[in-house]
Amino acid sequence: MTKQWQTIFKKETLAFFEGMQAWVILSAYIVLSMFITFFIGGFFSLNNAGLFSYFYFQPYILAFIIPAVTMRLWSEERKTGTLEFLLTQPIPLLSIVLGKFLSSWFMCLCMFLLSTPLWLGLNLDFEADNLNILSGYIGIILVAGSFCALGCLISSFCSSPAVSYLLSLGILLFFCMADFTSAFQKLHFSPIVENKLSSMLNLEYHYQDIITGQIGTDNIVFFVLIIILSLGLNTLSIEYKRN
Amino acid sequence: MVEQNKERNKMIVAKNLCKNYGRIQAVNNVNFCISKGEIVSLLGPNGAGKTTLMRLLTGYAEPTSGEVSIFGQNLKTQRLSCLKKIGYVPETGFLYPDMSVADFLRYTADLRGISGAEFVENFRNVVENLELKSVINQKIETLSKGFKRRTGIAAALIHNPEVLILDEPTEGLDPNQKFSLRSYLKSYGQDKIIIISTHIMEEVEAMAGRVILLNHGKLVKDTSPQELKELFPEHDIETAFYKITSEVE
Amino acid sequence: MDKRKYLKIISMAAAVLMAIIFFAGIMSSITLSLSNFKVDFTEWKRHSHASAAQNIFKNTEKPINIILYASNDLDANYPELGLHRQNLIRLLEKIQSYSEGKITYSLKNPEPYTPAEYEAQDLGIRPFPDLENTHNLYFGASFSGGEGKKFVIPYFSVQRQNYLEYDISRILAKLNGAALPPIGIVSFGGDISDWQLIKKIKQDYPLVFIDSKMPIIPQNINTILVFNPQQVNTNFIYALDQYIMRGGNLILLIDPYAEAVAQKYPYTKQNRNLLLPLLQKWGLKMDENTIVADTNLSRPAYQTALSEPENPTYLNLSAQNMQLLPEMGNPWPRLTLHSGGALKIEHPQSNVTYTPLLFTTDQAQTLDADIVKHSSVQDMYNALSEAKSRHNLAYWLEGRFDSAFEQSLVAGTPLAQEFPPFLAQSIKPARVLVIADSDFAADNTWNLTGYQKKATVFDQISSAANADFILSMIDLMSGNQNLADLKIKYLINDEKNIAEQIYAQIFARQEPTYRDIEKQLKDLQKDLNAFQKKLNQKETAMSLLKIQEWDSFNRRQQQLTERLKALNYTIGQESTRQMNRIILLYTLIFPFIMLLSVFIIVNICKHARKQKNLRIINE
Repeated sequence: MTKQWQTIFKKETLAFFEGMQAWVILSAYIVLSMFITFFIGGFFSLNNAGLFSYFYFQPYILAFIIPAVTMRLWSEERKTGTLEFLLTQPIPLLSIVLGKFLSSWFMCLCMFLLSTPLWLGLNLDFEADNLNILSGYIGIILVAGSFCALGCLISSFCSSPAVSYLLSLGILLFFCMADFTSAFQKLHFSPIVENKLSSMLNLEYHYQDIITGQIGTDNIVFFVLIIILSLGLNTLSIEYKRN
Repeated sequence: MVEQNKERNKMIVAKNLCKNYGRIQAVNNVNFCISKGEIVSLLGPNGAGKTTLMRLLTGYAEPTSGEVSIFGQNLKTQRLSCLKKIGYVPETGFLYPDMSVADFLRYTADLRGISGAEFVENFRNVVENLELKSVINQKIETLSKGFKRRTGIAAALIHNPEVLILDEPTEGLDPNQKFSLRSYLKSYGQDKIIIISTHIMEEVEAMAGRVILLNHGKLVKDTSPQELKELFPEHDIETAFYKITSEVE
Repeated sequence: MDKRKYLKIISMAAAVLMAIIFFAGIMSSITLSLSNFKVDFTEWKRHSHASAAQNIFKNTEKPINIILYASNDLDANYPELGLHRQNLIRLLEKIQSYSEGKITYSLKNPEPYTPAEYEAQDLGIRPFPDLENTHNLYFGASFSGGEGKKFVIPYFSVQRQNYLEYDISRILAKLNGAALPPIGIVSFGGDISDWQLIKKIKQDYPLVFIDSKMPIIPQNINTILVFNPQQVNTNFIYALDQYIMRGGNLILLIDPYAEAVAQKYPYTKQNRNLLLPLLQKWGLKMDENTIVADTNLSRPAYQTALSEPENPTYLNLSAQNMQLLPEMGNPWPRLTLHSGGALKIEHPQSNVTYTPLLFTTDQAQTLDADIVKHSSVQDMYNALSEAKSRHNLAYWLEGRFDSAFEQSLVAGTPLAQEFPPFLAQSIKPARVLVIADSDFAADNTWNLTGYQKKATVFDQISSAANADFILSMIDLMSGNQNLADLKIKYLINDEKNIAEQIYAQIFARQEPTYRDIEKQLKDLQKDLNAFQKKLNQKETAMSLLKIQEWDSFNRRQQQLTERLKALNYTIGQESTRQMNRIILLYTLIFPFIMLLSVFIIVNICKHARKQKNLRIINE
């Protein structure tokens, strides 16, 4: 099992880097997110010891970028028919799912690695709260993980990468902006419960907790559960497709 | 002949296999046994259920009812160890277009858990036997149809499988290539099991020691090509095939 | 057979549904049970609660109920308020768990025209309009404890978010503790009851305004604040002296020149008859003509480089300039003084300990008080004394004092019977805080709150912690150590943004040139002054030569000013370029270099793999 997911991981990662895909995605990501950091996030006009300008809009940027990473993972296998090849290999389905998910997550790590010069630069020239920045990076890594898992799941439903991209984009954007506050308020629980429920299911709440430097178990549980649940559903959906 | 097989060591046993896609019965109550050293040809018109049957045998599809056992192991319950013994080449598009031939072979070997000296030896063997040397570092999407097919077969052979299942292996090959592939498969199949699906009579005659004739998902005939010929002495095998398939209807 | 398929679909759907319910269930149970387990992942510990605040939460004895009135559509209208609300709720959750349920909180949504809204209005929660101006929003809280005690924060201002813990802890401590003793206020500079500091003290302590002609101060007054004493009459000195002899607490803000008074009452002739004799008796000396200036503590000049240089008498003290006693806790983020005097110890009393609390750097200079009163900032720079040394700005005196008087003022009169007996020495230890600046407490020194109708202390925005410092000293003197320990961690406007940091760095590079030009200008001004004096003295007629000389002075001055402007422009340009460089560097160049190197590595690996393949098959 351990070796087999590594094989899939290696193959998918190489596939990213040997084609044009990785280079296009990586450059698009870094240019887009730095542009937003400097011109929309107000890098210069804010106190940026925690790199808040960089982190604040990341979920939205990732909602655009990650579907491009995950779109072909399953749908292209289905389109070219290689899924039949892959599923008749003597490896458990879960390790295929895991390998593909981890390779897309690794791709996100590469994207974030491109922004680390900014972190170093901040340390060299300006005031920096490194612990806070570290927690910000943990935040985007968790967000990217949950987005990748969702992207993989959606890709497994679609037989064309383009459809997969658009669907993932829609769902991830919804996921970024979903705020169930008013929905829960209609249920007329006590306000404390309403507030708790709505913030618990709100990505922005958890993400802001992390990037402002107050990581809690609830935040980590939120993202990890999304990952586990999506990967579980992903396995189920492929199993279902097989028949 | 069938009774003789039963007495021998049965390697692949299909029992009451059924597969439905919605209302369509793709495979309907098929029973057979295949033993070591046999090259079996699945014969039938288009839509007869050959591909579905192969998918059932390789575990890609799960049977609606019935079961498959390979070397005494149930395909459903011991899927992974069964799949280790099988090499499968589907009919179309099972190759990653972006990979080079060598990468694809290496990837398949990795998936099969073959590495080191074993990999080097098998790699050299399949490349030599299937004449892939000239295209080894070429991307698969740039290859001609014949090379693509042979790459697929090479990938299926990289782990020296006990059972080789090929869906229309010679389609798209020129006569020379067909000939050399057939002779290679024949020599390979001496102590292994090879199952070939085809609708080309010529191929059945050239290679198979046994023919399983399918029509509308049902097993119509399970004989040798000679017997098939003898059943209809006045005709060649193609006419026999035609007659049998139309009779059932 | 079809049934089976439908069954499968239904079971799939059920599985998905189950998974989602499972997910939500686990999420809610874990979140509800573990939400308090949070790690503060910041170097500056922004999210950790000070131990003083924690003690207040933990030591709550009586049940306290907090009701937060926050409109549901708060974040839809003002996102920053939504975030603030989340932080507040998080704090309330923590308070609830620290107090082990003694303190409870609940949320209420004052929907328009419902009982909840009227309730909020009755409590004094301040309404403010939504973006479309269709209805009122609310964001305040009421705190109610036993015995009908109730406090209200009418509005949680975003600009006051660094005070959140401080404000709430103070309220909780007051709800939990006994009644606070009265504080006496004595002002000589007119009416000060609308000062933000006074409002702040009034929020917590009962205030008694004391007439400065009273010969007696009631001993039930715990601490007495004296602002800017002038034209002090002997009665009051006697009253103060005897108050101290009976173990009183005094906070004295004394000043060689009070801007706040001068601004408000421009025609008041500043009387130098301060409380200095009394101070002298206590062993402290302040020169009433000398004002302390420290260019290191005045705000750096680059911020207002082109306009007038920053006033050198503005002293911004940070932790390095404070030496607080252990019971006063950590240093404050910043205290600002405006034209303070220098305190020295002279003939100290033997039973009194003297602690300098606030002081300048070693580079402080002095100015004549008259120059500060009548001259421009540039003149102040020119008039700075040559000598540089450290000056003490505030002293803490503690112990048994000797009286400044020989006998009772009313000795031998019939009134003597009605007065408490004269004491020549303290019968109880007394505490005196002397701050050599009365503007320390004035609004324009520390307060940034703009004028707002109905503004309360919870709307105060500070540029320095002056008021909090004085309040904390009152807490300490009135024996409320738990309140005195409360501190704010930082001032919001203390942080410098990146653009300012860039500007400062580039300015630092040009600083020698800049200072050089400044010095030349200064010298020129001196020469000019001398030249002018000479002209005036000799009263000679203007000769052509002199006019030429005058002219050349002017030209040089103009040239230098021009150079200064040019330099400033260059610094501005350079910092813009630096910003563009940063954008280019991190958006394009660094990523490109990294991508290129990865690209090369990937391709080398690819090539190596190809070679290896060929080697294998050719062997």
